[in-house]
Amino acid sequence: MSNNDFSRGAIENNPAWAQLLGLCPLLAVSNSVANAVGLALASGFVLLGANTSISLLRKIIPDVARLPCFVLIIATFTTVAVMVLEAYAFDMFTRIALFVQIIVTNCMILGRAEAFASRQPVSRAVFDALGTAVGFTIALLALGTVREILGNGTVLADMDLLIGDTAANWQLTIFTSPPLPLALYPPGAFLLAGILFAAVKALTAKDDTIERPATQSEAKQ
Amino acid sequence: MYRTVAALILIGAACGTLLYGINAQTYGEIEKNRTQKAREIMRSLLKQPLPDKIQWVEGISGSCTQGYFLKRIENGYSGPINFFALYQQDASSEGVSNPERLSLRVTRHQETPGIGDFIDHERDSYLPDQDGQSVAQWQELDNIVGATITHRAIKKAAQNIQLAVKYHQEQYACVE
Repeated sequence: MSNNDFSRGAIENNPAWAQLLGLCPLLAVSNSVANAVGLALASGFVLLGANTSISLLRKIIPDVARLPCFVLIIATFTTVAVMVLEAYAFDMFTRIALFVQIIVTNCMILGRAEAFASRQPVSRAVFDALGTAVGFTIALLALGTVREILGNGTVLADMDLLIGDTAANWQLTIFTSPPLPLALYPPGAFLLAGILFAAVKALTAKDDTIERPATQSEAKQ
Repeated sequence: MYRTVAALILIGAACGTLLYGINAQTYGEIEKNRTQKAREIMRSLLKQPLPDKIQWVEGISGSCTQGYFLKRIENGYSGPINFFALYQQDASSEGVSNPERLSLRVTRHQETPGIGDFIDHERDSYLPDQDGQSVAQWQELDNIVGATITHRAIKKAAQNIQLAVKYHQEQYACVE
């Protein structure tokens, strides 16, 4: 059951390409792999913390005030993520701060809290959070890699802002002259995200020629 | 009813405790990072090395001969905007007072991404482009469509900074 929860969150119900949730930070921050990893870590942390807490407290949280409680818990973990990033990855924080702060309004996280964590035991909620976080990370990394290569001609630039001096030499230069600078800007993000999501849909498309029951008029004929 | 209130208090207390603990752990590092960033901005605005220790009196540092650094918070569209300013004015000559030169930077803000974040000097050259303008010139800047409140905060900051400098000069003698 837990494996199903994980794979469902990561692939089948992927928040980005299947549910189109969390697109604002996804499109805004995925202009480089480093930024994408930063946001993925912050979102994953908030998702895991919120899902676990809400599942643990699900019998205490009053039904009439469940949404304010969910938002309070999500806001708490978002603030923790903001404080930790500002303390230990300050340069990265200054680049993605706005989008880390609005994780609190990310409907992906509130959606998992309402639809899953508030109704399931902790173990299942944890696997669901991990699956959803991994799914969001895959989408962020895929888009971040493509945008950085096309828009900047590099991969893994500025990873030292997140990981430290060990990552200072990780940058790979693919193109000396970026082939599509538009990729770094919002229109490029929309176009590439659309192409990426369409490609994933095409690859994972199921046979939809399922026989449907005949209507009454068809049956009479 | 009582159960609902008790549950809300319990959840609120748990969240508050977690935040208090994390804040206690990270406060020192955050302050260190902010101070370092402020020094970088001061150095880039002043274009000369800074002393190791900078004394702040009520959010103002410096002197009338070298210029003043000021910290100022104004309300933007989505919350407080933390401004950092360099205010310089050459001494009056032959009874004619020279206009002041004001440069502004924003160290923290929560303005809408893509609309109000033009005030972030690391993303946009809007504020650096206005460096050295007088307070009157800051007031005459063209409005920015879609970011009226953010823009108003900049003008208000420029005005309040001038008032703060005047007050500071009245309180403390103009000494090197």
